[in-house]
Amino acid sequence: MTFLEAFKKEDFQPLLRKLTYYAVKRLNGLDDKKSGGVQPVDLVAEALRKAVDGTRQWDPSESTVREFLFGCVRSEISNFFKKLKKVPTSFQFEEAFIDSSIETEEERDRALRKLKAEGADQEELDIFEVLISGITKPAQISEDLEISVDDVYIIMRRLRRRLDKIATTTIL
Amino acid sequence: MSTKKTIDDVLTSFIDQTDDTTIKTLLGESVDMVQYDQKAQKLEKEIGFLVKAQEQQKKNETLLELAKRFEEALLKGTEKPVAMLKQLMGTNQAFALNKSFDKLTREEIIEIIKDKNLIDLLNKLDEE
Repeated sequence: MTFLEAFKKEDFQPLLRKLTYYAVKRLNGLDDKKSGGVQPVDLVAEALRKAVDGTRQWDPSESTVREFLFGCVRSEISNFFKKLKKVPTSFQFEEAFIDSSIETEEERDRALRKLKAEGADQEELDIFEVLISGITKPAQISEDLEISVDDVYIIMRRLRRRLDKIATTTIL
Repeated sequence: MSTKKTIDDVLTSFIDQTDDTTIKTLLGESVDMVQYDQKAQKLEKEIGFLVKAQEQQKKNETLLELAKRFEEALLKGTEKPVAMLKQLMGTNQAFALNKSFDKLTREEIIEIIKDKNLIDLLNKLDEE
C-alpha cells in the first residue's frame, strides 16, 4: 500500500488533533515570542506537506502510517529547535545591519551588555532581543512589543547607529 | 534504546490510543481553539489538493512509463507487450478501425491505455 492510499483512509481532523497535541507536548509550552509566532499546528502542517509530496518517504515495513506521521512531526520539531538555537545570523531592515552569530544565552547577554555600555536604552535592548529571537519584520516586532510600527522604525534606526559604533568587527 | 526515545514512544502511543474527545479537551487546554480550527480547516483543503495533485502526477508518470515500454516493444516486436497492446487496441473502436498497428505514436499509445488499470498493466509487463 502506498502512503497516499494509507493516508486517505485516515480521518483527517482527528489525526490532525493528535499530531498537533503531540507537537504541543514536544514544544513544551514554548511561547509565541520564543517560537517567532510559529504555532504547533504550523509545524504539523509542514510535516504533512513533506509526507504527502514525498519529501519524507514512508516505509510500510518499518512503521504504520500513523507512526510515520508522528515521526515526521518529531523531525519537524527537531529542525525547528535547531533553527531557534542558530537565529539569527543576519536579517534585513532597510539593509542588513547585524551580521553576527548569537547562538547561546551567554553570547546574547554579552551582546546586550555591550549595547548597554554604549548607552542603548531599554527600547533598543528590547528590539535587539526580539531581532535575535528571529523576528525581523517591523510589523511583527510592533505586535510583539505592543508599540507602533513607526516607533519600531525610529528605535531600530537608533539601534542601528549604536551597533554601527560598536560593530567595527563584531558585536560579540 | 535511549530513555528519550522511550519517553517519546510512550507519548506517541498514549496520544495515538487516546479517543478524539479527550484529545480535543487536552488540545483546548493548550491552544487557542478558534485560531486552531481556522488553520485546521484550511489545512484539510490544502492537503486534500496536494494528495490529488500527487496522485495525478504519479498516474501521469506511470502512463508515460507504460507508453514508453509499449513503444519500445513495438519497435523490437517483443511478443507479450505487443499482444497486450493489440488486445487493448481492439477494445478501442477508433484505433481498431482507423489505425495501422505498427504506426502508433507514443501519444496514441497513451490514448489507448489511459483509461485502463495502469498498475495492473505495469505488473503484467514486469511478469514478462
